[in-house]
Amino acid sequence: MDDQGGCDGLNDSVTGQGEPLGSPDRSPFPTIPPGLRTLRGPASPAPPVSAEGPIVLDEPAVQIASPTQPPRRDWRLVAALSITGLLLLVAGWFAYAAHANEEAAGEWKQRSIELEEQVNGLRTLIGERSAQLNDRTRQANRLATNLRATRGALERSEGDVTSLARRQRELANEKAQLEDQRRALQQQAGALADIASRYISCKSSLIDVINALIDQDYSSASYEIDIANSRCDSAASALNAYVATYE
Amino acid sequence: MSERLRRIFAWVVSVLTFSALVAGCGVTDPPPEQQARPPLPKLAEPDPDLEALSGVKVPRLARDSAERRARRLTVRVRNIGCEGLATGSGWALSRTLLVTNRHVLAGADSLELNTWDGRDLRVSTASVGRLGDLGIVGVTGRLPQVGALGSAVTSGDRVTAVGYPLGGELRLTTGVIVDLVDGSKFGIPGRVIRLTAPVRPGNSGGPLLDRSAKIVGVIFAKEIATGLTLAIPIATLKALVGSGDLEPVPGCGLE
Repeated sequence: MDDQGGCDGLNDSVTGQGEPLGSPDRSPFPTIPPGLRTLRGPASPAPPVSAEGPIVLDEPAVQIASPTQPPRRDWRLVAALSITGLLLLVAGWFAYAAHANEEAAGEWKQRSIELEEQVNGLRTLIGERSAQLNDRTRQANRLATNLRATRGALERSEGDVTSLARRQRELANEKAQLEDQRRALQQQAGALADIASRYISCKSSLIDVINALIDQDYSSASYEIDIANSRCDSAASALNAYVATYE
Repeated sequence: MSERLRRIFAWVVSVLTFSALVAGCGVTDPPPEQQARPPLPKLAEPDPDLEALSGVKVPRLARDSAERRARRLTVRVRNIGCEGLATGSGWALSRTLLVTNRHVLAGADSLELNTWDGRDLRVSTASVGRLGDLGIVGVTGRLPQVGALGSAVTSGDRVTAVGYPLGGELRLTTGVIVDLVDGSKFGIPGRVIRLTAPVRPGNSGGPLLDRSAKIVGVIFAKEIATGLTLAIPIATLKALVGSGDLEPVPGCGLE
């Protein structure tokens, strides 16, 4: 069989397990169509012909007639190898993917651990900040209370200061007015004293005139009258000036 | 290929495939056990009025007001002279120098100053500008508030005139700048401010303030024809102080 090229199926059908091609009532040799030639070499001796049984041919004439058809065993081997290669390729890809996924899962895990640590730290920070914020809120509330109280006190104080300042200005004004009056009165007093001295001078001159007349010293009396007139005129003009200024 | 060889081949392929399939399937550690986390503290409730307090306007203190500064700045001047007693106003150029009008100082035998709070200040020296109606008085003691000098004014600016009208209480009157005119017809060098703020005798020498309580002029007269108040611009005062063109106060009967 092996020397027939490895095509077992073909051999099996031809050898003893297969069905015999001829029948006893038919010609023991197949008819060769014109134009075909058997593959058996001319040097091969013809098989012996038995007179009792059918003659079994080593190879069917049909097989001999298609020498270009590839053997079926090669095709199946190629297919099996291709499927195996494909399977190995897919399995390799799966292996790579699984490995990569495991590494990625490890990285994600590591990252989640770090993030969890950060979250814990942030929670701690938030807790501290919240406590501080609560402190500040309580302080702000206390300050608000104090501010309200202070604001009320400030408004009252401001009102007091404003009214006191107003009163201070009023008193200052009154003082200034009184000082004005005092200065004016001082000036009037000075003017009146001047007028009085002038009238005193006038009066003494008039007394001198009277004394001269009593003494019948008419020349002196005439002289004293001029002086008295001058002094009394001066006193009168001063009085008129005073009256014009202050009344 | 024999049947045995084929089975071996199939077994090898299966093993290889299975190995390849499970090659990356390592066992990852389970996550660490969840730690018990303390609950976050509850935030304290803020005072309901706390938010309202942020909008509260702090009452303006009288001590910071422009009016108070104007009141403290302005001084009452009493002129005791041969023609009797006259009053005017003045303001502090420095702690010891007072600015007023020449005609407020003229003819004085003595000068007396009263501050807003009733204090009396002694006058050490007094001099007046040779030109214009400005006078400078040196004071013994400290004036309560020094005035800040402003810049030039223009028509339409709001201003406040401060002084002691008729020798009475300190008054602040407001108005606007009408224009600036040539001062020669009023005997004033340079220009003169005309404004609408009403003044009376006794306002002479008082400060004219802008909106930020800075001194922009010195009140000196009232224009009879228009009834407008006249003030000497602060630039004229600066020029007078810079030039030193001053003379002693004219005595009684010399003005």
